[in-house]
Amino acid sequence: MSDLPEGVERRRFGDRRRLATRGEPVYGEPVDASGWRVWDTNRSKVGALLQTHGDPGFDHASRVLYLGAATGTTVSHLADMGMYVYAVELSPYAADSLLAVTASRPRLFPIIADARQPAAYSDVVEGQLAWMIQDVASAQQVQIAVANRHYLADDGQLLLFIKARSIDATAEPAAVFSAVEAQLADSFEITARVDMDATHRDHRALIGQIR
Amino acid sequence: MQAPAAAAPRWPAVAVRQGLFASEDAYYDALHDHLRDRLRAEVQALSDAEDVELLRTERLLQSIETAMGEIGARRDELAAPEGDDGPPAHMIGATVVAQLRSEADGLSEQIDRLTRRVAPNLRTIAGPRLTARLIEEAGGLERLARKPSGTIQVLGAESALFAHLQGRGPSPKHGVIYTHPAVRHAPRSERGSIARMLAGKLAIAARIDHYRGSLDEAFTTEVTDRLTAVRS
Repeated sequence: MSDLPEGVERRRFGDRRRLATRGEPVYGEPVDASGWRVWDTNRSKVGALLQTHGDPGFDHASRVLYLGAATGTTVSHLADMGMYVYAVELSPYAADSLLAVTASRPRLFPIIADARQPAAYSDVVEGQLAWMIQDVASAQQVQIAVANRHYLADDGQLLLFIKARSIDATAEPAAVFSAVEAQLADSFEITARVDMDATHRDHRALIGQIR
Repeated sequence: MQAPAAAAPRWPAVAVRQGLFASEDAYYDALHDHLRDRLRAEVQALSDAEDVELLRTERLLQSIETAMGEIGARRDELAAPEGDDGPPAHMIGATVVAQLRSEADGLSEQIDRLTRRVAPNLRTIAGPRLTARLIEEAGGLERLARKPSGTIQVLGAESALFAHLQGRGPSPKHGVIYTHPAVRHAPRSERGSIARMLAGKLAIAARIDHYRGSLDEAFTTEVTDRLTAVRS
């Protein structure tokens, strides 16, 4: 994989070089003189993945379904990169901050809905998407990925962050990771696995191609 | 979880093909506006529910405070004269009061957080706790916003008010707003007029909180300056 996708750069902030995108700051992150703002890899798994693994194949202007947008930190950076992002979040308590984050990002589409019921947003989320990114804290991560696969294009890709502790708090993370991968096997061909332990304990990223 | 669905349509292309939008860009602009409107409605619905949560939290906190007072008084009756631990019932009393205290602290924090969202103007003028008590006495933010300031002035002093209306006793000067420092620390002869002024400002603050929903700093600064002035 190449280094960083278009729209993300490593830039100097203080004495460190950090990932950054260009856009309105949203969570009090540092901004440099030319308008680049830090992408905090401790707060964003996608950011951490870019840092450790490099570009998973993100394209400028590609369409993305992001499940588990939370308060919108990660999706704001994806939107800064020029991606069109449908940001689905279950908790209505996130609505406030999603409202703020989307104000200056016309191609970031916020949706408060349950990703286990994808029909609820079938009137707004378009099909033929390039990516489904999933970062939900649920025991049903696999079922959610499968239930949303009809939004993906034939060559669409999945980026799923497995949160071992949400799926089974008692099992060894390694056992949970392989169980999740086995369950996904019918729907997605996994092409890369990246352990996120440096920034996110007991998390693994899976990158896959829809079958 | 539902059965796998058929491939989803590409809505922007559909919308343009049907002539609903001149371009995909125009479609995306409209979609963005539409979804943000829905989000705003979501935020509104949530804050409508939050005043009820605030009211219930305040009621629970009041019950806990009453219980703490009663248990504390019983415990004191059992206190040993010479400072040793005293009888077992005294110890139990102490443990329970400590537990209730930590619950009460948690609820106070919730009230602090909720008032910040639900009633920022009232909170700035009256503080989180008095704001919660006013909303609780009125039965919700909307009801408080609809009350005349004369009613807000005597909220929580209903028994004195009705005694007065039946010809027994003087008219009450203040209800729960007595807990506001500007009223409580005023000389007795001034209290009534300060309470009347404060009630008027709280009535306006409640209306801004309910009908507009955002902090009006020009207004709250003016009020807090005035309250500080009468205090000195």
